[in-house]
Amino acid sequence: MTSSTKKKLRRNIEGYLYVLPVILGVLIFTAFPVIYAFVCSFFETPLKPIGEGFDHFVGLGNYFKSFSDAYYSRKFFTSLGVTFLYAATYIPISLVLSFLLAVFLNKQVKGMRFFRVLYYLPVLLPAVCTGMLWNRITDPYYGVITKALQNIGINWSWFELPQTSMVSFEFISLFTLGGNMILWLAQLKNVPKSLYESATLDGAGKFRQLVSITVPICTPMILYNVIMSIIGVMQTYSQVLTLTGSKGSGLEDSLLFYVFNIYDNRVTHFGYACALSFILFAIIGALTAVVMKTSKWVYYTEEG
Amino acid sequence: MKKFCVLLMSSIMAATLALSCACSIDTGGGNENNTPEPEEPPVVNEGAEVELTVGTLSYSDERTLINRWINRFNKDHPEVNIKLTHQMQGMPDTTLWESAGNMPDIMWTAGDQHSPYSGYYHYFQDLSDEEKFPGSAEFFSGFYDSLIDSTHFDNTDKGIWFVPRDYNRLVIYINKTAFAEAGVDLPSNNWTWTEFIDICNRLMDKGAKKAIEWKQWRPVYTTMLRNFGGKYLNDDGSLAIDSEETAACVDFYQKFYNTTRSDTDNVVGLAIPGEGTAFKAYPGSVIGSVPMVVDVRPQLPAYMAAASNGEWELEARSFPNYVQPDGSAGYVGAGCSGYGISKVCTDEKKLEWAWKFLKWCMSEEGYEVVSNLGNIVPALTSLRDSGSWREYDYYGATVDAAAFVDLDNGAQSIFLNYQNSLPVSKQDDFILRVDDFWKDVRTKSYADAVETLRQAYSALMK
Repeated sequence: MTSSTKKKLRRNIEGYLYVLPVILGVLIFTAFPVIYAFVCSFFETPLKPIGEGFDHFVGLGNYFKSFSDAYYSRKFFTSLGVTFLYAATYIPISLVLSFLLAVFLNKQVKGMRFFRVLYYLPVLLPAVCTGMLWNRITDPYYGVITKALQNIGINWSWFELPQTSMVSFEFISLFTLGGNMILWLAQLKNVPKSLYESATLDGAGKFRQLVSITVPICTPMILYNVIMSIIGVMQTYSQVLTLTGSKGSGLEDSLLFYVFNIYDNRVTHFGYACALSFILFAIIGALTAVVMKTSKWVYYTEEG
Repeated sequence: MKKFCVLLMSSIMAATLALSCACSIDTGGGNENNTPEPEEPPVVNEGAEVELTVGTLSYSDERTLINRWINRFNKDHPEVNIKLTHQMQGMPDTTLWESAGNMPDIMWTAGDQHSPYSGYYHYFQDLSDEEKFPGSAEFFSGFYDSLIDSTHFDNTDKGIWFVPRDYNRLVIYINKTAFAEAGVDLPSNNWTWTEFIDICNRLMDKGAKKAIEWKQWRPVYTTMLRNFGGKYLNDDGSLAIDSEETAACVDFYQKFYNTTRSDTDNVVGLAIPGEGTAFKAYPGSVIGSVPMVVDVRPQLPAYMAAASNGEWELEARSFPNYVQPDGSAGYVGAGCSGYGISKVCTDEKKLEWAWKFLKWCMSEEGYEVVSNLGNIVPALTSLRDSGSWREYDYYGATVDAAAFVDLDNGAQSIFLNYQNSLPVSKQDDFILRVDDFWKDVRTKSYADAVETLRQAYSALMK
């Protein structure tokens, strides 16, 4: 080590000490588990205490298991299908609705801040709590909403029928629109007023202004929301569990989300569960890459 | 536009507020309210000579039950302090505890799921060991045979890895009010399968939505299959699913649910799948109702609560006797939960008290302590026709206790661990594949479902 390097190190030692706790935290609680899980994914092993080793090295066997073994293949593709179905339907609906909600809440009306806070509040509640609450109010026998619907002649079965499970789940998920809404609001505030004024002078109506000014300027946010939604939706888990209770992945596996499949294998087939996690990582990465590659439609203003 | 926004927002807010208020109203549902007895605060023996930890299922009913036993035992034995410290969602959680080096001394187990944990991971101690657990042989001689069968981890094993807690024979819960309206007499506990089907048809004729809610559940599948003469596995562990008997069972099952897709069949299904929800949601008339459900004793308080809230009367009957072609009695699955002593409980004193505790819980005195919870049929044959468990009532309403034991019913109790002829390490996985088989027969042909199971079995046994 040269004397100048030593000097530099001595000068920066205080800084290194400041960041050390964070670096240690990342290494111990993020990097090590990821590496450990990656190594485990090449072994057929149940969950064991660290240090007890693994059972059998199977190479890429755990990665191929989802395609070669009828039982695992069925679970894998069912869970993937359920997750993709949810992503394909929920993401567009939630984006459109949260955008419209933001447009409404962006109006200069007295007391609008109150509404903004209220619509954001459900996002602050942990998924477990909202899941339990909805579990209670959609209870097929005692549920308040169920009873109310029955009184007007609608027998909605919520999670008691495979056919209604996904729709019910999506409906309940829509109550967390506030998360996307707040981002839209931030973006809407950035749209220069002068553009609307010019458009008004040119005779453009409200709808034309929305389509030709608001939406194009919001495209970076659309891109961001799409990517974050994909990541979030592919990892759907806790709300399903608390909503469906003992039924877990729903009747007839109608809510067997991908992460449920990982969870089901987490103990007795730990190595396979790790492989599934990395497959999910690859899927999310691939989807994100596709979205990024096809993002020419995103319009960045001069300010970026 | 502004006015419209305000109006829209206000309407949505009003609806949300109304629902929020409605949510805070106690509707009387859920596990917390099914049992009239509140959960007791723990009795703690500070400075006790021996400390024992217990792990059980996280459900409210399970916690209440074990806490009742713990509290009474702690009260009577100040020298020991037993604590409920661990809660699980299911058996795999025990492996998480083990991995973390934090296993309790006493652990709950499901009778049909303990094998890998007893015979492969070796989490439980063999309670048949007279040296470690004095009086074991005499103690276990008092239990139902089918329950003791389920304590072994495979067909060759003679060990007893947990103390069976309850005797869960399949029963049929009946909506007495709907039966009366339909003019259908209540069957006796000695009813046969033929009478059962006849009653189902009569209820359907009277406008029932379906006659019975038939749970899609392993004990139900196994009971059905056995009654039809089929089986999953041979004694040597080879697959035995493809047989005329199984085909007949599947054929019945498909028609029972009316899942057959052939329009020419013109079969009206008598059953719907479910977990008791349709049965509980009695619309006040036999028309549109589901007046029967197949289930077990632990669900009795929930059905009692539903009947009480819905102002209808509940009754229970034994599972119908599916008389065999040779005239012999049919079969009905009987399973259990239980508690084992874990491998970490090695200290002599701890072991002694853990054993004492479990023996006391599953004694006549112990069962008395929990009898008014209503969800336990004692695992002891001596309490078959006595004990206050038979007198359980829900605000005055009762059901026939004889339905839960085989006093008046000809059908024989069978233990449900069909997977026991396989190596321990394969058993859990095989059960999951069989579950898929029953899912398959609802959507595929019998031949396709068998082929899928055969492939899954081959892959598993490789």
